[in-house]
Amino acid sequence: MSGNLYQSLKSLEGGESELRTGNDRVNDAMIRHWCEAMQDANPLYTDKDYAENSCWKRIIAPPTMVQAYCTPPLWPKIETNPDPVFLAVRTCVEAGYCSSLGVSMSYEFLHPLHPGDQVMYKIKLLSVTPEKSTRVGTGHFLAAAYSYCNDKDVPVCRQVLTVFQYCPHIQVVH
Amino acid sequence: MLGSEEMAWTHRYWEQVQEGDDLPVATRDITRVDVIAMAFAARDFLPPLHIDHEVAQEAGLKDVNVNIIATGGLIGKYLTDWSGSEGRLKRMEYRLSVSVFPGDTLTQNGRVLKKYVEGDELLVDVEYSFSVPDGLHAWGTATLVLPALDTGSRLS
Repeated sequence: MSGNLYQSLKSLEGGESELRTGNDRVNDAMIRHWCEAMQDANPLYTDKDYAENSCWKRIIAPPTMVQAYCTPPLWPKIETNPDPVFLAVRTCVEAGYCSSLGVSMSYEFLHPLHPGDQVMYKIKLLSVTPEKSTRVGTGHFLAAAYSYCNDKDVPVCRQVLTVFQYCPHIQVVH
Repeated sequence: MLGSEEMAWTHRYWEQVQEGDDLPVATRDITRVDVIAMAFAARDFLPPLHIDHEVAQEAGLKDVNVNIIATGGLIGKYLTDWSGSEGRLKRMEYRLSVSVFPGDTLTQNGRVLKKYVEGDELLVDVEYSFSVPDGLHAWGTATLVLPALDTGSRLS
């Protein structure tokens, strides 16, 4: 069974989504909420006067925030073609590997985002591993590559997120 | 402007940095509200491991944990707190091990690995590790572009 699962995942490897549009334009409120949670006082993110006198000439968004404009909303459900990463996760879930844990992340920051910018992105299933057993459970490592650009088609960031999609060892008794 | 805690955002110039320099140790006590605020800031709701205690337990975790996007945000903050606002994150990668749960104190360390020039950019590679009482949470390396003493910023 797990061999079949791996073959199904392998067949999705290398596939990429269409170019998608982020849910929200870069905006002051989301930046401030991010800074509030991270306790990040960098004045480039929130202080207009400071930012205008900096090398950037205007506010920039925290670079690590890029994915926040693109994560799926709770409501309404966005109608998109299922991308290969979504399909890989769904294939795992249907096979009983229902839990997901972030394992690693990498970012290359190419260009800053400013309030008003629209983030556009593609998601690619970069790689899948054969079944592995870890301290949390048994499953597959899935690497998802995100490439982001702004609405002027300038590349902004390349990101790779690796998640472990697994069946937990421990079942909590209610 | 964020609150009344004014940091002195002095710039750290490339010439002032030496390989082997330690970054200051920083700590933060993470509350349940922090974990949830980080999930909302990152808009990381699905699956709701970072908001819903029961969902987290069903996934084999003892509680809601800090999401992976927020860990990147915390690392970015740690690095630019050190570099100053003219320091620009160019590259960053991290691995995750132990989760950060409500009640944990997160301890952040870093060190300058390498200082070099590439094109017209003055760069430093930094390694960092974030730990909680149960062990290492996240560790990795980053590259920052720093301003030069003589010309000011190299960012434009």
